[in-house]
Amino acid sequence: MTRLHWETTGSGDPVLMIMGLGLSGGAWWRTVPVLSRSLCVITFDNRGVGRSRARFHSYTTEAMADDAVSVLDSAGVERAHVYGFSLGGMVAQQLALRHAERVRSIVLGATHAGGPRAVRPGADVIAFFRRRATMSAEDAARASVPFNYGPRCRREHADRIAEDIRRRLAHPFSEQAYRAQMVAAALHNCHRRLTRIEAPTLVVHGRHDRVVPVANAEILAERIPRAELRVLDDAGHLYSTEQPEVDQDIARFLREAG
Amino acid sequence: MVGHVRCRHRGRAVSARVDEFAEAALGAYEDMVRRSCDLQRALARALPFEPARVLLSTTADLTRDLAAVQLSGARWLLDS
Repeated sequence: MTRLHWETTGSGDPVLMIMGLGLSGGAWWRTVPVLSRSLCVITFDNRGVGRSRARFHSYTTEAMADDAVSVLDSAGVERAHVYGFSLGGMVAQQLALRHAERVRSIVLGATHAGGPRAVRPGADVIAFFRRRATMSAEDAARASVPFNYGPRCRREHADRIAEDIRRRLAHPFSEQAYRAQMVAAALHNCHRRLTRIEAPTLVVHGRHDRVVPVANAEILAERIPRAELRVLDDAGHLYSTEQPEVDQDIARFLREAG
Repeated sequence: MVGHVRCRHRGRAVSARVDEFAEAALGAYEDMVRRSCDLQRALARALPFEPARVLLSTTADLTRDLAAVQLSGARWLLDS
């Protein structure tokens, strides 16, 4: 049986947060305090990650979107804002397409639409992510730094990176779940259907993102009818560590989207 | 020269129509799969026996995921 762990923080209009590859809902620790000042923030662990369990270790972003809707059902929430990061952003696209009536607005962070038109990362990045499943959690977290963070953050904010790693290691994930999520990301393909998304959308992306190149954000913003694009000049993939002020802009967007 | 341009335009129009038709067919298949999954889940909820319930909801999940892989692949081909 699939069991999903979820929790809420704050009060106000609900916003459902969907985390990326291998990370638990706890990885939103920088963003939750900012958004929960004016919103009811719902975080959860994707299937197979953190305190959630999966019936099978074979995932699709469609299945993960249905999981996210189960969390809304369980929380008694009819419609919510949805904020997805990286793989979570792919799940958010599926959620907006499969369950449009449940979505008020969407924030797509550091993600892509999938399909053959998605802009792939460099060969070194792909090789790292394949290797990562065989590394110890600590080695993987340290080896991922050049891929996850932009040059400025690595130069000036080593303390923030160390704190991210410390928190990530507190919630290790299973190798099987990691591989299953990789397969879900590889199969993801919403490109043709993005024009059907009617919810107001904010696309956020770091200019130095090596994991999901920034050209993908331009594709998303171009294809989704009511999308606006925010590119962060000094950030890589994990932009909320690198430019934490963006969380305030996201909170403002969600409040204004109503 | 003019003839060439016309041919190219006609080629594009035909390809757009084929594309539209293919997308409509995929959309219809997607709707059918969704209805089938919803039906299986509704049946699962109505059944009084636990093993049968689990079996039906598992079949619904598998139907959804297999169709998701097929649709992703088909759209991949259309976009290539």
